[in-house]
Amino acid sequence: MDRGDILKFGHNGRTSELLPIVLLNTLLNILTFTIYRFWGKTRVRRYLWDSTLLLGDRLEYKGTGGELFRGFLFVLFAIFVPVAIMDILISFYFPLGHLVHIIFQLLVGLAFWSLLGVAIYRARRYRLSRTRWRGVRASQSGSSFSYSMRFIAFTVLTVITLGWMYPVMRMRLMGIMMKNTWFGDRRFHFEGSARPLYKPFAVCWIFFAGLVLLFGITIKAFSSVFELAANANTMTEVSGPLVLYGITGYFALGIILGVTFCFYKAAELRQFARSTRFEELNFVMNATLSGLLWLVIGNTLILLLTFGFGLAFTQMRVFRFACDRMEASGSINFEAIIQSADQGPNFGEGLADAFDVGAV
Amino acid sequence: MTNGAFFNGKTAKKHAVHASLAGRVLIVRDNQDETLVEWPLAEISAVYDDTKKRLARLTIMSDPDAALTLDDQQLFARLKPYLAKAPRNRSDYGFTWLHAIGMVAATGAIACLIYFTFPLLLRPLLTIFPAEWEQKLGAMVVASIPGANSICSNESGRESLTKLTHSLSQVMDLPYPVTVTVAQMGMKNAFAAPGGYIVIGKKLITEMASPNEFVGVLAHEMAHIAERHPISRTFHILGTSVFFDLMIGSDAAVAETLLQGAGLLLFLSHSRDDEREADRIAHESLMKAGFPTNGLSTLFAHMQSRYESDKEGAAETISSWLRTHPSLTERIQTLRTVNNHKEKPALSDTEWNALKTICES
Repeated sequence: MDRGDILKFGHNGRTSELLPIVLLNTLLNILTFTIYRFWGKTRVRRYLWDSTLLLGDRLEYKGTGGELFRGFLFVLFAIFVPVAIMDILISFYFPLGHLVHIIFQLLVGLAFWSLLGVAIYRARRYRLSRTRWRGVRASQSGSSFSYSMRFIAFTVLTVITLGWMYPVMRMRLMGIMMKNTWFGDRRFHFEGSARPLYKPFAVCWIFFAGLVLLFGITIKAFSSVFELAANANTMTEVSGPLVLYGITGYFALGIILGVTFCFYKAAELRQFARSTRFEELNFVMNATLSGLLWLVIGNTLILLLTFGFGLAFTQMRVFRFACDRMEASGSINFEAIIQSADQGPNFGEGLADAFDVGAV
Repeated sequence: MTNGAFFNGKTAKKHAVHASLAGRVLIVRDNQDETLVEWPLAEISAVYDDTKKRLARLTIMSDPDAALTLDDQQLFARLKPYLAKAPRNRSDYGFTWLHAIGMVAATGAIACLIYFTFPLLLRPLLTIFPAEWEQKLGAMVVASIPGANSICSNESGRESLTKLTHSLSQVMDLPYPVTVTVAQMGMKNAFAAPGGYIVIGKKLITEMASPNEFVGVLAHEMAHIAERHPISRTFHILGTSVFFDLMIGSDAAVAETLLQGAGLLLFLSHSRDDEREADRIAHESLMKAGFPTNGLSTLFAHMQSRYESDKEGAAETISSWLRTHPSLTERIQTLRTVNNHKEKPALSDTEWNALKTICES
């Protein structure tokens, strides 16, 4: 049993079943000054996990809204309230624009930036520790602080290299997470290079650079016409189209770039899966450009049309995308996998909530 | 006998099992008929599928990692009456109406508590707030308003101003001396800032028909200082904005906007109370100082006829919810009922002319 098969994932969540949950969550969020979000989020997760099947058995989400709420309170009183008080005190002691203000803002900015990685890592630890399959818990080990330091270092490197470090950053950060991911007493492995990602990345990068350059040059040409315009009449004649071109160009650029980037992202997802191994299981993700485009464009439209309230639907589409396109092959002996000794954190995701990085 | 799957919570092995009921005990046997577990019904809790309202799995309190899923609901129907009603049982339903209603009620209660206790908390906070901080804050506020620092300093005009300020200061209960200036502000208005700064716009003086109107405005702004309204408003804005920023998540942008709006309405309502209070104290002080008290109401009346002639009735009431000040109609009515009809104006013609030309050097 459980040997040499191709393991399929499945997702049987339905929009019609999620809809009542989302509607009620929206209403209660408004009535409770959004404090209900912790319980609402938990309910959505429970549904998404419950609808996910591996070898015919459902995932189980064991987290509670109370745990998320406690995480929120902890971050509120340990970080945000002290910072707010300091901020108020400083603005009373020093006039606006004083050096102290600038230094304080800078320090807070730096601290929050370094906490961003911590937030991402810890949120994942919490979610994994609340996930069970066949009665066995998943977990995540490792230090969120060292993840955060690498997150910062790679971000800086990526900026310095005009983006060319991005594929390496993505692979390395994913590697840190996957290598620290456990199911029961067994660890996931992650080995893979960023090299195959550079071809799609280069295509995207050159396309980006070309487009941005084109946009910049045309705007410049346009505005030089504007400067040359001798009288007020020609000025208004020219400025209308210029503004229109600027705005539509900006949005068109954003859309075109987002769409093109899917070309890279699909390759990245495939490489992530290919680099992952659990026991003797190897993973494959059949992420195609068209599939990913459909996912990204659909989700963007859902968020825009529902003013953000439809977040849960986009999450379900992501789950479905992953389950439909991921498969594992190889052999595994589930009998040998023993329950994880790690119970996970007692509360979670306060930071991720504050920085809005919680993906699900 | 029912078919199902059992997970013992120790390994990830899936056991195909038969579950059967023997008295008040659920017996789980595997395919070789070996007994895997015997669960007393009283210790079993049922986990429901939140949306399908059906049994998802059975667990036992003594070993929460173990789980049993049943292929059909028949056996479960027989077990159900005997299952434990442990507290964690309920949270596994995912959602209960009781829970949701409780949360809304709690939020409402906290909101009411904040609404009513905020003004009460403000008093002790103000008594410990250092006066020099308030001064600095006030200077910052004045500096941030366009034109408020271009002070008019015609000598005789300033004398008239000092005379009025001095008379009113003697009858008012001020926490600290006030600094009154007339400035070339862009707006037809006057304001009081923390630390006793009062700035009256030159354009507002141009609107005034008599020195009585000027002294009315001055008394009103000084009343704000006497009650320390500017600093308490500052606390109020700070407090509510910090509160809302901290509590509200960014999950739904619309909800966030709605709630920021609620915070603003709360602030405005307190602000209107402050204005009524200032009108009342201004009136008392004018009486005590022996000035005519009709100034504010005549100024409001001709400002109203000039700027608000088209607004009436219901529109007035609705829009008054969205204002920092009560409606002019309301204020005029309140002020008119108590006028003392004093004949002697607040300043002589010469003094009044000097004040009106305070910005000319």
